[in-house]
Amino acid sequence: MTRRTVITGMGVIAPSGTGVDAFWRSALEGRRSLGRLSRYPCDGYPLTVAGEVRDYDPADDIDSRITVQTDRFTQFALAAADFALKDAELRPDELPAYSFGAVTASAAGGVEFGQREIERLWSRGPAHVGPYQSIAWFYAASTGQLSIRHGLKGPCGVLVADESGGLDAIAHAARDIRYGTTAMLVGGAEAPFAPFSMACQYGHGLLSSAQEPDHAYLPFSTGARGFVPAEGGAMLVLEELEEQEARPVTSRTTTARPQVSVAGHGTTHTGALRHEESAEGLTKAILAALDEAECAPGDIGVVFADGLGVPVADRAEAAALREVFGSALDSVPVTVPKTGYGRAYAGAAALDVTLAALTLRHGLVPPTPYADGTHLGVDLVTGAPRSTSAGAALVLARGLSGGNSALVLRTVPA
Amino acid sequence: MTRRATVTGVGVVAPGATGTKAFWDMLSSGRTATRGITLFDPAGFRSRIAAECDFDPGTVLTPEQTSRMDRYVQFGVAAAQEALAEAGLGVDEELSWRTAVSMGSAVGGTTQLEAEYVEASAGGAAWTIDHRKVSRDLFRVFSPAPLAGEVAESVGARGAVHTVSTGCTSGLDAIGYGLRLIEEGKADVVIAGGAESPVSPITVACFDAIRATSTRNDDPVHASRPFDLTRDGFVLGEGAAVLVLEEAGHARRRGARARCRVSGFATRGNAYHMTGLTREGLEMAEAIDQALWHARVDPSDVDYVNAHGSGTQQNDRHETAAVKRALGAHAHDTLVSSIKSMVGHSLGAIGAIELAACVLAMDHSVVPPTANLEVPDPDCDLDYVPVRAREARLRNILSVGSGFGGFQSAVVLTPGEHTP
Amino acid sequence: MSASTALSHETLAEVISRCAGATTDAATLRTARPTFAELGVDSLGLLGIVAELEQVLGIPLGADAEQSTSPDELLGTANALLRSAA
Repeated sequence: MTRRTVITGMGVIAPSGTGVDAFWRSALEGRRSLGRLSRYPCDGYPLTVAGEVRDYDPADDIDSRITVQTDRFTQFALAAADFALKDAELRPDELPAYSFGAVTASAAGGVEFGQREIERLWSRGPAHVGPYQSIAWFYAASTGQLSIRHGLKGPCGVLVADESGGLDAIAHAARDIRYGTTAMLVGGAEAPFAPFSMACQYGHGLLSSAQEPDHAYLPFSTGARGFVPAEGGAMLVLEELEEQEARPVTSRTTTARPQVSVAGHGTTHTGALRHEESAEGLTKAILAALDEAECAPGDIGVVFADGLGVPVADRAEAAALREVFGSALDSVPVTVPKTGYGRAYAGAAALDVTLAALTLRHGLVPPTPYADGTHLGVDLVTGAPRSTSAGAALVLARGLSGGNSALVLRTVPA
Repeated sequence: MTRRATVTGVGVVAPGATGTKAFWDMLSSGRTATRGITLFDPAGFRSRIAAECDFDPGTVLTPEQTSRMDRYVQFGVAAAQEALAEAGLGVDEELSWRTAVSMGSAVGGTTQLEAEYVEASAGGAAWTIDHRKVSRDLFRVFSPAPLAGEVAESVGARGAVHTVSTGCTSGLDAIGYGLRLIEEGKADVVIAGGAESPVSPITVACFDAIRATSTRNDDPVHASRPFDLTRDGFVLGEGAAVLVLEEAGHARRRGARARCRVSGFATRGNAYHMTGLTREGLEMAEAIDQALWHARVDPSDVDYVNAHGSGTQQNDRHETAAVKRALGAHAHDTLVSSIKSMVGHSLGAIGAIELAACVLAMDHSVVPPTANLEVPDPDCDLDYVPVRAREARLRNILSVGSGFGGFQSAVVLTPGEHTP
Repeated sequence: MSASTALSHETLAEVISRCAGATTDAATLRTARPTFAELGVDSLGLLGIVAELEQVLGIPLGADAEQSTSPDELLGTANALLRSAA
């Protein structure tokens, strides 16, 4: 019997809201949360518009003995995971040892902590590097701290990956469940806004150079001028469907229906910054995801697009969708809600998957904030949210290093 | 129909040896490649020893590749090319989409990032650094994701491409994930391994700060001493290894030699401490149990355990306890050794380098030794094959790893289908 | 190079809080005499505290200090070294 994976808890820390309810409300109203980068003085740098988490400090919810040994990216993951476990009404100690694991994805790692320690090394000497550098800046910090915080002794994984890797991590956790694990905490969270970390990224030329948030991130538009980076992310609790239904829950009042399953995943690689070739790669990834989900293209009721905001990449994505859906694409709503709060690297996909799951539950497609004209042949949802009876959603993500990934979510018949 | 992963090619860039032949000569002779650090001036650091690669990229990479790729990526691509050549595999259009890459690295492009940081911050003087002094291509280094991407481009793979970063178990985990991609039908070929070049001031300083590395600075060739009573920490290493994993039917149809199978994998968290290990090693034992179950190998049939054996006091005790718990009385009959005694600890690469050593050990029916093991530790009472390699019939091999974050991983190798 | 004054409970409490994130103060260290385990300070936290004290006091404290089980013990070790360095 195939083991199926359902999403039972979601925790979000995004520039547009903290907690899944606030995040969902802001997505439906198309809130515009981009602003001037404030985490460090950005005068004179190419990037000035960003999606920052300003109304919530994860350190407020975490013991100071943990905050001293963690970077902000790990603090986001820890706080988001706390929300997700609460949402799932799951206490890890309710499950047998080794049956609950964690997977996170990160592109940046602990860059702010790392820059501080490397500054101490070079300005003051080796003895000034603190003992926590060894565990704070590396990419595995979040998974390790999550495992320790919640006693998760199941499979522990870490992918270093940009946007597409966020979807791959969710697929990876679903694979752990297929291989026998009962529950997984999975997602991605990023805190990339340190001066050196951002300086590393100016060279690819895809960061929006706009000075005004209103014109900074406009995918599928002739006004597209790159993307706006963001911090934050989401953590999900995934569980095996039947084991989840059998587990005693203190109160089932908040158990959401319909249940949403992680049904199919596909990923391909077509080379760094080869945007045109991503059309073929994305097409194959979508077809593989549909195949695994046992879905026909016609079953997909909504698409959460990658929406890089780079004209050649947006055209490639539109071409991939046209290749898969044919003329039926005209009646499939496509949305890019992250234009409202920015692309949080590996965290972006987890945020998109959260919104896609909520769309299937509530029958509303959140719009693409800031978007206005031209849509390259896709039916981009702008302005008000659109109602839908979709039973399956397709989430797409591409990475700058060349990955093209697709994930299919489906409602589980009651 | 069960899909199985056979190993049809191996490639290695190791300290003291580039290429699998030189690597095996070194391991089987018990020679150590640890030395005083030459990649930067280590004056002022607590540990000034490393196992460095004498790698000339010009012999395997084009000048364009060499200038574009960070050192650890060069290692990874060179190892992948050797492995693919040995496998005799041509990746055509159709196979390209069915060829995946799964590569591990713990710290990625730290060395180059640090060098550029120093330049752009005027030696750490300014928090808001001068971005105009940073090279335009640094985005390729910023995250380690390009490791798998560059390996994919060099071999023409267009399937699933992942960079795994579970710290010191990255190499084992990347190969374990590759096994699953084949078992689940997501790929027919997986280029799987690990690469790392961490010998830079910040990495050395951060291991200094937690007293994890050896300070036997006056005797670097004998500094890495797994399971020896006088061990005083690990020796940082660098390098890469890649295995070509191929679905057994795919390999058979094209007449490729299946050297062995990667047949079991499991990883567990100790949920205990980011760097500390328990004395009992329950979670590593659980990972071993699960990997052996996955491989359908009875614990009493394990012929050789390639140990994590980092040479820290706590690791070697922890691991000995875990192996005894998982293998029971058979632990005292099986052979255990740590090649970190010779090639150091290359973080996210070492798990792959150690698995490459296991494939070669099976080929040659020889267990590589634990060099420098001269003074037995009463807490470490297994047969660690001290100093000299030993001939042995090797059917089932277990390789284990343990890393920061509390991760414990195990991979099982079993004979290929056509091996008598 | 030597420090002119002994290590105080106040300085030690401040360094423990800043470097290891454990909430404590001089009065608690004097009266309750907690162990590092009771304060929730682990081996890495202690290494950070000792490294910072070495900077503050201007003398190396050595491997013994890194093995201290309590702030009391660390204070004793540090002040003994300061006395002999004076």
